[in-house]
Amino acid sequence: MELIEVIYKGLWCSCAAFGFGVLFNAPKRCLWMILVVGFLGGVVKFGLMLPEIDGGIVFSTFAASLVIGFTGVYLGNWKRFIPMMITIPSVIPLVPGAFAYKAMLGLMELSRIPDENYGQIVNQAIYNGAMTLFILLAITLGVTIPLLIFKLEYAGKGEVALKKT
Amino acid sequence: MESGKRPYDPIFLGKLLLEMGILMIHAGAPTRRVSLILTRISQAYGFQVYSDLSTRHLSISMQDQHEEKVFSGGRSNHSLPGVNFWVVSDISNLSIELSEKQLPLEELKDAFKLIQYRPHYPRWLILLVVSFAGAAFCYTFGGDLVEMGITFLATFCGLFLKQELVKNNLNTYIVTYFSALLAAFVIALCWKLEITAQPDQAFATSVLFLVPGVPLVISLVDLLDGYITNGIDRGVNALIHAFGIASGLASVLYVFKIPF
Repeated sequence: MELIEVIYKGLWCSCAAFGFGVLFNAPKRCLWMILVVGFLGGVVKFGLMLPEIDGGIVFSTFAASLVIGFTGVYLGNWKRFIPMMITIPSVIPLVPGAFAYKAMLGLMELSRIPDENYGQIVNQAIYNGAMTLFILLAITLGVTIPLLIFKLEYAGKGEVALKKT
Repeated sequence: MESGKRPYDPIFLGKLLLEMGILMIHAGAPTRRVSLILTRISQAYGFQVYSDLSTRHLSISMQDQHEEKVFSGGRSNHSLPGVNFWVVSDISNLSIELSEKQLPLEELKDAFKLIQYRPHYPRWLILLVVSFAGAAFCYTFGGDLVEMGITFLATFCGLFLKQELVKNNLNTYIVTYFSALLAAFVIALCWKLEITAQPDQAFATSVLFLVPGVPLVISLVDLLDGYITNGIDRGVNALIHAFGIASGLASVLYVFKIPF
């Protein structure tokens, strides 16, 4: 049953990715790729976060954005799109909105006069802030690794991606 | 070939390259991509281009085969990038076509004009799809149907305000702040009207349409490519946007004294 839940969440992720594709004015012909890649990302993330696997949110997000990065690059090269056009809308559903929100709440709480609970609030705020930071790093690294380390970008007929500028 | 008898007018091409470059920078292309495309196009016409790229300014100088300077110029664009992937994609594809087969410069200009003035998706479609994306977010963060509904509403209002404000050429950070404020305000209103009791997820997800995802990712791409100043520029830009979102949200939470 949990697997169905994961797939269901993946579908919603792909809807969210699609919305951002439209917002960023991605070409019509690559919108379906955003749907597919966003779905894959959601499934990998929530799949790894299942209690049986218990991958932890940072690792799951990193794995999901790596999957998004590689599939995006593959699809993009196949249909002659810039891979970033597919990968950026697809990773946006992985953004740690809840952590960022809690970190901000925690920071706001810090503006009061310290009492015995103050240390607890500091801990919570720092934890949430750190998680936000690490998840964002995981997302950006996951997307950029296929582009930068493996240089898989499409760059014309037999052309090397990096040229003297 | 003697200099002075070039098959293509370098000044015409140079101006066109500047327009293309500034448009791509404006549309949120990574620095290396812009540099690559400019190089590719100018090489297709037999010129070598040297470009200086920042996130709002572009200057290039061109040389012909005899390393003789034929053009130099710059363009600035005061406004910050408004993401438009279609433009980047089309110019990139155009440059690939050019490197396979040269077009006359007039035709290149026409093709570029077509790309430059291509309309966005219709506004109502963007509003609907992005609001739906907001609701979808809410589900993945663990919200229920009611929360998804109010997130849809909040995103719709926030994005509508954003589009209106962008038309008025307001500072982009202020636009972000007010859009986040309105989106959070809608949720707070729903909470006051007791439509929902625990609007946590709705609050966290209603402002996600403002997340500066493109500058954030491209910032790292630029940094790893070695364009450190541009990377930092974009990163700080994204950070200020994030701060704008947080302060919009915080204002509402503070004014309504929402207890969580």
